[in-house]
Amino acid sequence: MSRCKLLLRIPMTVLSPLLTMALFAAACNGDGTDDTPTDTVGQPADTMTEDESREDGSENGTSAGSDDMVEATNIEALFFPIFRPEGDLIAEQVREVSGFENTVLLGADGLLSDDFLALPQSEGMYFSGPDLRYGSNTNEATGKTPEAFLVNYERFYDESPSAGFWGHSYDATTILLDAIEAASTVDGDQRLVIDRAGVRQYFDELRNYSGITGSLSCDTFGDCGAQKIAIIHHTDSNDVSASKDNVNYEFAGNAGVRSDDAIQSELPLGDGSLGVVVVVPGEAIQIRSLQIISGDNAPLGLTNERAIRMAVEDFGEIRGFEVEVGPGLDDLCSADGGQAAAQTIVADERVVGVIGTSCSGAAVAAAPLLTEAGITMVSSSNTSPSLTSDLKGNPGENYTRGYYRTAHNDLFQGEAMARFVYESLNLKTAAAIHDGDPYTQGLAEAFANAYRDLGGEIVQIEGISKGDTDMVPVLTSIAAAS
Amino acid sequence: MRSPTAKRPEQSSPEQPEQSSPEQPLLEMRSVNTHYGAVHVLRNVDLAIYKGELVCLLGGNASGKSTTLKTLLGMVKPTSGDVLIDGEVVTSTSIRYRVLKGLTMVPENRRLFKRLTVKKNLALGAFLRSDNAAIVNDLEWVFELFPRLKQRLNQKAGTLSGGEQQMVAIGRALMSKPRILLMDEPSMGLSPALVKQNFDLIQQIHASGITVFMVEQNANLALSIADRGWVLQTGQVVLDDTAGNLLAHPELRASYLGDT
Amino acid sequence: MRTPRTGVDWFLTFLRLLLLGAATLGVLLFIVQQVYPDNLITRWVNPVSANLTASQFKGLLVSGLTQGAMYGLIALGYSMVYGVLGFINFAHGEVFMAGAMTGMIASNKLDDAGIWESNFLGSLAFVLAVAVATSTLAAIAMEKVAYRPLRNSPRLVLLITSVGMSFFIQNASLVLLGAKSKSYPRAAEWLNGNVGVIDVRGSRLLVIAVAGLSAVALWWLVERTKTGMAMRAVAEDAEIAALMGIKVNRTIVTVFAVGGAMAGVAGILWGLMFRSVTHSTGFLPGIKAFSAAVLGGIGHLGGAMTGGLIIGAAESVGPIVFFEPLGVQGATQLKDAVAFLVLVGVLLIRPSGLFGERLPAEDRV
Repeated sequence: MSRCKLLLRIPMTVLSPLLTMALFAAACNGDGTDDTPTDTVGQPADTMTEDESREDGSENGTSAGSDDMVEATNIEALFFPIFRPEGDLIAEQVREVSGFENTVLLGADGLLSDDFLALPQSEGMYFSGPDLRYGSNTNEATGKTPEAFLVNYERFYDESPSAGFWGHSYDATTILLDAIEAASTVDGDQRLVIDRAGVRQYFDELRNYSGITGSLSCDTFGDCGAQKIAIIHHTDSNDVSASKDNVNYEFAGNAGVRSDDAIQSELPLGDGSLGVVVVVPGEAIQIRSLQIISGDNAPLGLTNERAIRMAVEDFGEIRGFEVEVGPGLDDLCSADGGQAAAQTIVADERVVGVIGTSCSGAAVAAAPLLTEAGITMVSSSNTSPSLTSDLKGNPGENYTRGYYRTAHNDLFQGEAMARFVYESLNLKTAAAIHDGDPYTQGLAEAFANAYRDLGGEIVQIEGISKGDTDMVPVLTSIAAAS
Repeated sequence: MRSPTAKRPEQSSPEQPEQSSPEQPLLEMRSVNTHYGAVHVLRNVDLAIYKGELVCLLGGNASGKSTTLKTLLGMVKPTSGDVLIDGEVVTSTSIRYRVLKGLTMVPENRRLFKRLTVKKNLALGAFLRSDNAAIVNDLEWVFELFPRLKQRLNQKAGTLSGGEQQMVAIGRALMSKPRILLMDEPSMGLSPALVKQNFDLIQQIHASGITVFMVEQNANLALSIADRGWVLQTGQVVLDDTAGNLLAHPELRASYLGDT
Repeated sequence: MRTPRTGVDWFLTFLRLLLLGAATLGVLLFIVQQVYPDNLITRWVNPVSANLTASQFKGLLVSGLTQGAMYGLIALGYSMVYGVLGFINFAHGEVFMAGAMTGMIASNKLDDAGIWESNFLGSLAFVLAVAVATSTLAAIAMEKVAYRPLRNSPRLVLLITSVGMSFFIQNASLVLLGAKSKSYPRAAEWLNGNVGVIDVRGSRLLVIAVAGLSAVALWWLVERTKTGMAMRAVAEDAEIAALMGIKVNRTIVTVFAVGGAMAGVAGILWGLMFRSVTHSTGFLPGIKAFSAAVLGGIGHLGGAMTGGLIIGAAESVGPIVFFEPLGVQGATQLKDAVAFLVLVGVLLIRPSGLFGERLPAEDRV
């Protein structure tokens, strides 16, 4: 026994991690030059000049210059459509990993909050997100323009919206209220009878609805958004609002399977197949807000919730009945949170519709529960393709009937970013990082697929875990794969 | 092994105030009762130990010998009665206070700090002292008593042999510059040769001016070197006499000395 | 001493051999791949696996060691408390979080006053002092309120209490400071750039240096001072330590205080390195540090520090070195798994941890 133990202990000591590391270091040092020939294969010649032209702009080009190793390729663009705080850490640590000295950093709407933009390390990044230049669009139900909305918002809340989906939330709410109006009748006892199936029918037949975010039409799988994407360049962390207006690229997605022919069904809508909700005089029509209102991503959900309440207020009564949102529910930006909140909602049979969730990850769990109960769910900021469709006529794996959204589909956002990087920035190699959340994973993949279709090289799509702090390993893994 | 001429350093004794009159016991227990929960362990125990004595407390298993020591040191609080040092009531004082008053103990089974070196063990004995020069002298004295420890100084105490550990335990106790040394079962767990050596040593320590109070199961051995002794039975002192009388006592011979 | 081998022994031996085999295979594949990037095995197992350059490897290693230094500092607290009271203080991760939080508040106050930038090192020292003080006080308060009344209870009771304390502190922070993650101000520019010939980011060097200094200071305290001697004595045998005249209660408080101070230092280093803190910041590092303490041999301070460095380095280097050559996809996501795998591996071969000592059966009566 003891001799055997001793025998085992010897290799263990030899293999004790620090020693093995020394071994690796030696091994690595020996092969530096070997890397070059294998790695330059398939490398367009013009990228090297692109590298050099941007070198003066980088913060610490010294390491690249002083290193005797030949850095075969740099990743030219790194897209990490994730959330805070992991996004902070990637932006901070990326420059110390060799191979990323001149990489252009790209983020998406998940990071596009004032808090993140105020961080110095976010300077120089590009962000994709909904195109917020709404001009003089007018919401057809309330007659509100973006300007009028923003004036009201500032008057109520003493600040301007800190995240980008307020217009989508406003539109989602007015459409839902219009749908309720179209699907309801007042019966002989002055009660309001709302046909649940009729509410969905209104969405299904929605064409060219004029909203703050543009013209909205729903496709077969619930994508109703205007699909306008903008990419901004963030140049100064001290002037966040200037960066948000600094649009470098715009993109309008073509709707998927969608007939533009207006459908004119007889009012009231609905065949009664999902039952009815009866509101007696004196009671209010119940809808709910389900958004991320705590934690790091609370700016997104709070902005949404405020816009929902403002839309309800602007819309006014439906056939003489008030609309009540109730206390805002929290989706916690997670499947657990979405599920728990959805269970609370379905326990109340009076609820007709829900505006939410904020996060795709929460929607994956909430949507089946809510739609099963006959509730119509309208999200204003879910963007994962898995919740609707691939835009080619195939439902996403998490699609459920009764789910709609006014936000864009990330296939468009991914394509916008891919086109921008490939065509406008002229960068031909890129990598992407997601955190396992359906939104981040879907967007990273959408970007990668679109980028490959354009002819670019995706070096690697890597995942991190929420709560990770040390991003060097994942970055090194990407750098090494190039 | 031991230098028989080893003498305790001179400067160690005069520091203690010579306030005690001949009648004043150095350490005393007055009608002490001690309980462990509901178990009545010590019943009205009276003990008085005078300066310069070598005395012993005899008794079988679970007779309350160790509890007596613990009560004297303050590791166990009596339910009634008092413990006095130099006539001062110390019943409710801390162990630390009593150690400062000159009490120390060599615990049963030695109880060394096994992961610490011999040096650290000895240093811990002198934990409460700050008279560095005297500490060095006392350390020299311990090395005179146990020359072997000098080679073992930087060895962990747990790696020593049983006999060496006993040396460290006694050395550690001596390093606190005690006036009275309490010894819990000094013969426990030692080979006969070592026991003999140990008892020689106790005499030697006693000869250097330290009062010794030992608790022993081996009555024959203990009485062979002690001046006086008590016999404890189920928590009560049943005999209190000189060593010679106790050795001759028929009842004691019958129950403890193995005579039939 | 020799006992007959049982089925369990054989099974354990088999596991050990398997583990060593897998580790050796991973290392060999990695080395082979580095030397001959285009060999047959690599092409067969994982065509897209990593080719690390030396500087990339160095970056990995340094980032792991930085993280590991923090784990190590936290692990010291686990190890010390375990040594003295014999239970795992699961709330220790929260002591670390408390230090990081107060450091965040203090540094932002300094930043608002403009002192952070103008006198960075002075501010850092001040923030460090504030964080260390908070963590120390938190640890002391925890001992007094939660653990002292239970000193004589079974160890399991203390363990459960510590889990409760952990939740309490986390939620207190949640209530007082909110759930949003909060950021430290950006460290001085020279720390963000790479420095010197070794070409490592300055803040990483600072973290390693401060952690090293703290460890040395602790070593000095434990090995060279009376307080340290008392701590070691109480750790081994509180009753006999009391017999030596040591104030046991005060020594235990000191142990908590010193462990807390180390966690406070780690908290500041965390803030400097990763900038963002939340109420749950203490959880994962706490678990990793606990693993580090066990890996090094719980109760052994050098072991705790080494354990921290090994876990940090392993979770940083391990996935790319061991798993990518074996063809695992998305290997870097496995870093937590690697950390615990290393722990399991070491414990399989040395059940008492790397430096944990098991004295030969000494208590022969």
